[in-house]
Parts: sequence; structure tokens; C-alpha cells
Amino acid sequence: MTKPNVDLLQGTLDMLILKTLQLQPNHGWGISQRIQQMSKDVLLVNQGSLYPALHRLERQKWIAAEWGQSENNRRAKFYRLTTEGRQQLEAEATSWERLSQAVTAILQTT
Amino acid sequence: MRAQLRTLLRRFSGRGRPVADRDLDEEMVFHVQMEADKYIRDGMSEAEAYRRARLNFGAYERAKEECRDERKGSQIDMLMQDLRYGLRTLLKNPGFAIAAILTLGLGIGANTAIFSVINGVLLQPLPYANGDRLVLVQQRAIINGQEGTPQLSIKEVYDFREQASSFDGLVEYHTMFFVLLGRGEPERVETGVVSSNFFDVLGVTPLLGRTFVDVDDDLDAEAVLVLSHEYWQQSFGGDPNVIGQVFEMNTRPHTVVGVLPPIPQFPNSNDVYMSTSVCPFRANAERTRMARIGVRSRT
Repeated sequence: MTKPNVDLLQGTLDMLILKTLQLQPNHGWGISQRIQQMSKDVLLVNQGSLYPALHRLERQKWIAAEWGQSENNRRAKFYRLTTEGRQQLEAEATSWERLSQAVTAILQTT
Repeated sequence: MRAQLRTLLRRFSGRGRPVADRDLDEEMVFHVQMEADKYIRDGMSEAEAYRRARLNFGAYERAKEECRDERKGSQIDMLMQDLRYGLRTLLKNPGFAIAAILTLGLGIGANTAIFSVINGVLLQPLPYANGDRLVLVQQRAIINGQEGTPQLSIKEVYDFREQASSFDGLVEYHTMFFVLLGRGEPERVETGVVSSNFFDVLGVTPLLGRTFVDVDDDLDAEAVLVLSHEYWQQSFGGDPNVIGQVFEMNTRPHTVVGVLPPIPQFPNSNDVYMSTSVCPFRANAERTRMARIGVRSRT
């Protein structure tokens, strides 16, 4: 946690959550760990925005939640990607790709 | 660790709170536990691990509040929720609900009724041409030691008609009951006795036939009747052939010459109208206070 981390761009957290869940259903804590690991500790997910985001995505029916047993036998709320969520993830990934390419192209202009 | 867990649980599990809220608490407690477990695995003491985990999480209540907001969704969803909640609460307390509904209903009803009266009586002009310029004139006088608003004698009416210059129309009016013969049963009809210009000044055009004309004021004029719309409907079934029919009133023949449109009658409702020249009482009582006048003021 000594590494400098960056703030998430508005809206990207939702996309990252969807991406994390594409691999396997997970609970909130697992999702935050996953994002941290996958970003090699660059991205730290703030709990204060993670849970509202999860509930938002659930309301939009992009993810679904159910209670289950965690790896250490605790009752935990697991989220999984829905079909709509999968489509949403594809759409967001595509537009993110275009955006980041465009931004990179501008920044690299000398 | 047990102790900390209990505090956390105690903080978050209130009895009787909505399931969604308890779920939210449990979800967040789970997160803190997982975070603490991680620190414990790294060799931290339980107390320190929980402290750190708790610190990492940040403001519980704010996070919960935001989760609730996200769940609530759109404004319309929230409005529907509020409506459902309101309805449930009312159903739960039927006594209160009925009292509240009655209170509101009576309040609104009374206000509406009062407004209707004020609107009709005070705010709206009379439903006639130039209704805002029509005035019923009364005089104040002391008669037999008592102050009152006596009606005008016919001579006074003439004085007004000849001398008053602030009006561009002046009508004379009084009401009597006469008996109308010739319709099988004798019929007692409320009769408006009016000057021939009465309907012209009010701007009323007849539905059928005509209203009164100048010659109807002549003392030797033929007696004619104009029927009110209500009386025409009630007693003649709206028969248009009533025009020209002759009925006997006050021992002389009266010919029906017109029918009024369905208008509110002013100052009061009558079955039939006759001209002042035909009223047997008025002809012989020029000094009797029996008449009222209405005027149309100049613009």
C-alpha cells in the first residue's frame, strides 16, 4: 500500500466490477481485492463507493445477488454477472478502448 | 475477536428493521471481517486488525446511506414507494384515515360550497348582456316610524324614468300570483309584471316568438304573455305550438306570444310574464308601493 494509487475515473468502477464478475461470482470484499490485485495495487477501491456501485448495478439488473457461503464459511452476499450485464460490459469495454486510444493518441502527439 | 464482532453486530442488527437494511449491515460487517482476517493472517493482533479493517472501510453510515439511495432508484420509483407507504400507513390506522379523509373532505367541500356562492353572487356578473352594469334600485325611507326599503309607487317609477339621467335603461318590475284558466285545471302562476323594455334591457332574446314591444305598454293594448322556459317545459312539454294559444287570466284573454330561453331569471323566477299595462292591480293603484326598478348604468 506504499505504492501511489490513482483515483478511478467516474464510471470506470462499474465497468471494473462487471469485469471482475465476468470471471466468477464474488462478494464485495473479494471484488475489491480482485481489482487491487489485477491492477497490481495501483487501483484501491474505496468501500464507500464500492457498495453503492454494487447496489446500483443490481438495480440496473446488470448483476444479481444471492447469499452464500464464503471461502471461510461465513454468510456472504455473492454477486454474479447477468446476461444484460455481460452485454453492458462488452459495450463499456469497447467504448473505453476507443476513449483510451484517443486520449493516448493525443498525449503522444509531439 | 468475539467481542469486536458482537459490537459490530449489535451496532448493525436492530430488531424490526427492514430486511434490506439488515442485509446491508451484514454485507458490510462481512467485508470488515474479511479485511480483518487478512491482517490477522499477516500477523497483526486481532484488535489492531479490526481497528485497521474498520478504518479502511471508512464511514459506514454514509456508505449505507448511499447504498440505500442507489437502491431507491429513480424519482418516480421513490414517489411510488412513498405512495405505497402512505397507503399502507392509512390502511393500518383506519380510524385515523377515516378521520383525516373526512376532515379533508368536509373542509374542501365547505370551501367549494362557499366559493360557489361567492362566485355566483359576488364575483360573476349577471348572465345577461352588460350584466356588470345592471343594478336593482332600492330606496330607503321611514314609514310608520320604521326604516326600511319600501318598494316604489308607480308614480315614483315614472319620476325615475323621466328624471334620472345616469342610466341608459330602466325597467319596472313586480311579481303577482294570478290564476290561469283554459288548461283543464285552473293553474296558479307566478307572474312577473314588467315594463315592455324589460327583456331588451337585460339583453334576453326569446327562444320562440317575441318578448314585449313598446305598444304592450299602452293601456288599451291586447294582453300578451311570455312564458319562462321552465314553465313551458313543465306545463306544455316544450310544445312549440303554444305560441298563439289564448288563456284567460283576470277575466280577460291573454295570448302567448313568446317563450324565454333557459336562463336564470332575475330578480326571481316566474312562470309567466305580462306587461305592466295588463296588471289589473297596477292600473288602479298608482300610489301603491308595489314596484321595483332595475337600471342599466351608463358605461
